[in-house]
Amino acid sequence: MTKDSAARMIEEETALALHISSYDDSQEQPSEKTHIADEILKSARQHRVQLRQDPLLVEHLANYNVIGSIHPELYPSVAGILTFLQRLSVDA
Amino acid sequence: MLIEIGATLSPANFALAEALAKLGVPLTETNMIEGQSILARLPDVSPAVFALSKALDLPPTPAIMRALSGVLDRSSMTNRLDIGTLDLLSLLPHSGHDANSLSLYIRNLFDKLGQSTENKLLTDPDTANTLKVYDIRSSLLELAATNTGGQTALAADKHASYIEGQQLLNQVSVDRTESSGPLYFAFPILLASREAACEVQLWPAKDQKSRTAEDADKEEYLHATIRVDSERLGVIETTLIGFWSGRLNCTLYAAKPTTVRLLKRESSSLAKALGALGWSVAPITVVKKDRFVALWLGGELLDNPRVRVDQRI
Repeated sequence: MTKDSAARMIEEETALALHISSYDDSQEQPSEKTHIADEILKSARQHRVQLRQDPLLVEHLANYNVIGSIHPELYPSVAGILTFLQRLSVDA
Repeated sequence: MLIEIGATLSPANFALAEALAKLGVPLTETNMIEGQSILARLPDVSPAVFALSKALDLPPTPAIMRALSGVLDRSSMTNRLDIGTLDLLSLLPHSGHDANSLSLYIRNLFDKLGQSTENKLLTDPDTANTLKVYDIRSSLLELAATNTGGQTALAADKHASYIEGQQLLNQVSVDRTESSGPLYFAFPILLASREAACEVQLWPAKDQKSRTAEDADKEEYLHATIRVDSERLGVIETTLIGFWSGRLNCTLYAAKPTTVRLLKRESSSLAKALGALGWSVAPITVVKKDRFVALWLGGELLDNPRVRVDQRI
């Protein structure tokens, strides 16, 4: 990517973000979720954790935690299949 | 229909209308104008990505469009991280692993992909300082930020988007199905020293309802699809359905006829390996399959022929 195209992309993204932001502002008040997204972004900046600076993406990912939904038996079964395929690809 | 809503009959508009219709999004003037605007501003985004965001009620911000593009366009991604960098980020189970250590590795990887950086910051701010080391997505973004403009930066940024896309689609699945819908994880693996793509679709764990042994043999306990796409063997898909009784049904699908023959010849060793895990494995079926539908939420819609474009009918 050239500097020009990178600069253009940033300009375009900023314009789009402004467009979406103004659209949202005209429709409704900032939600509780948006407030949480701002808090997360603040915390990320404070701890220098890299995060996309997009409150709507942050808002959608704020609750994402599915670790407890996964069967513990899944891991050895997937590993068994991948080990089988690894052996097969060497022999093929 | 395009003329009625004031859109010109251009190839770009046809492509956008087709994508919206395929995903069941109403073909309205508002959706068309919004789509044209987004696609003009973000030339790397395909009409299918915009349509998917509308179908899933996700706001079309640049970051969300890029995240969904990461999942949709994975096969055509040109900027990929090299094997050394993937290994450094613990994103690549290599062929030296035996089944036990590979199992631990995958568990560790799913633990990382199964929780967002945002959720970690929200639920346990005290761990924020360690995120830079243990969180794959923020490590990728860190790599992108420190190598500005380079190929590695672009590849790291794209891989971070790819993870964000998976997490977004899974969160929508959780929201829409009250945690009973399928989850999707994708990661690279090494097969015969070459990088291959591995995708896993799985259904969340459920409590046992069956009371009798007969019912336990009908009630699903584990349901997963594992798909690997390698240069040498082509696409191989495995479906696993385990029941509360301990019975496990395993079906192998492959696109290449040579791979189908190889799988048929070797499937008994897989049955033995799965049996060693405690499953009562039914005879493994091997089937040739030519069409593989995307495993993430909404992906199957993209492959279905659209019924109609005009939503008013």
